Amino acid sequence: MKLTVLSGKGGTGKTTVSVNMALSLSKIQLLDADVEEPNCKYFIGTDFDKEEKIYRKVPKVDQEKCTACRKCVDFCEYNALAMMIDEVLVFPEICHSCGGCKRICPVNAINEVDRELGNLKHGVNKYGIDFWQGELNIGEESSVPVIEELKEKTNPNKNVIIDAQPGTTCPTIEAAADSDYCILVTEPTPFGLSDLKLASELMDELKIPHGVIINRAEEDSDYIIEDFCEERNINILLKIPFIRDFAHLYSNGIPFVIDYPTWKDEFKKVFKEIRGVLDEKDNGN
Amino acid sequence: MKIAVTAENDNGLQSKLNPHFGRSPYFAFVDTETKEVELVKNNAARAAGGAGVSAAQLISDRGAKVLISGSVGPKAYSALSSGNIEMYISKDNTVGEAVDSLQEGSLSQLSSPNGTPRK
Repeated sequence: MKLTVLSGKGGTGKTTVSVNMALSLSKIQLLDADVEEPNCKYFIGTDFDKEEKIYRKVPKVDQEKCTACRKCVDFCEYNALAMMIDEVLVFPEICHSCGGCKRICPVNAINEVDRELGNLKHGVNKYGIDFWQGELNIGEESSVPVIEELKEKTNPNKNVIIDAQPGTTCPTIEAAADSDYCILVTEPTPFGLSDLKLASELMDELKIPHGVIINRAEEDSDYIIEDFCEERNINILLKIPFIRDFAHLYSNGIPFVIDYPTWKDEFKKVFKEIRGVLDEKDNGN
Repeated sequence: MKIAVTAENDNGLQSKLNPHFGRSPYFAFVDTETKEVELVKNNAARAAGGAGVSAAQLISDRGAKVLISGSVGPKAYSALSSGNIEMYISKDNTVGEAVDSLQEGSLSQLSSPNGTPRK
């Protein structure tokens, strides 16, 4: 089973849920796909035993051959090329590696060269979780190729938890697209609700079954999320209370199930519930 | 000489100076000899990415040799420099005032990017 943990809003607790859930279950593989700021490592350990670089193709212009016809500049949909005083400038950070400029050049003045985009690292951590993380290099803008490569590491014999990037744009979609189920993590605030709506609409669009975990839950404000979920018929899988000790553990890089092992049962229940939903769906088909 | 100034609206020399380069809604092109002014809409203002590069291309294509704005990001700076376009920073209210300030010599020339890219 492949589960992606995502949220519309950043900082709601995707990593908290991913890591604590991973520690509560067996036969788990954890993928940190929040490649702009992977942070699972701070909770499960930063020792890595494998590293692979990720490259992508960007254009290199042979100025000797270039006739300054400008076809490549006009073709580029992403403004990654400019023509300044008869010279084509390349801005590789914003290039999407589509290869169009190379094809359109009438005098073959454009070659493609490898540019390092980021890396994948495999972790050996103290909890024994099979852990891969993707990391985008500083200054790079497109994280999707890193996430694609990260997903190649998916072990089909394990239960895979993917910690996605916040938001509802390409990187989040890439992480979630072929998941069996998605957990939307939110918080009981108007911001949390607003972005949960977007995330839930994304799920409907992708046709992925999903449920909600409310983090920093408080009796007085949970209705903000509960009313919405009831109206949209979205299952609330779990509430993680807003208590000082959880925040304190977090700030020390300790997943709270380590100090509160009974919470492992809560995550096991969530997992069982998700499995039930998926079985029902399979039987329905 | 043709000067480009980032503008918020299309109101000749009275147009309000826009503090950012790449996503400026308009560019005012002012001819310092004839005092003629032409406002051009910036199609890259809403681009997903590369607005600065695209805007720099527009400035260069229109033959401006000088740009006045509030801030210029790193990629735009690099493109404009390659195009031998001088950049000046102004906090004036309008396009006309900014051009006057430039001619009085009271604007400082930019020698490194001072803006941050926005997504």
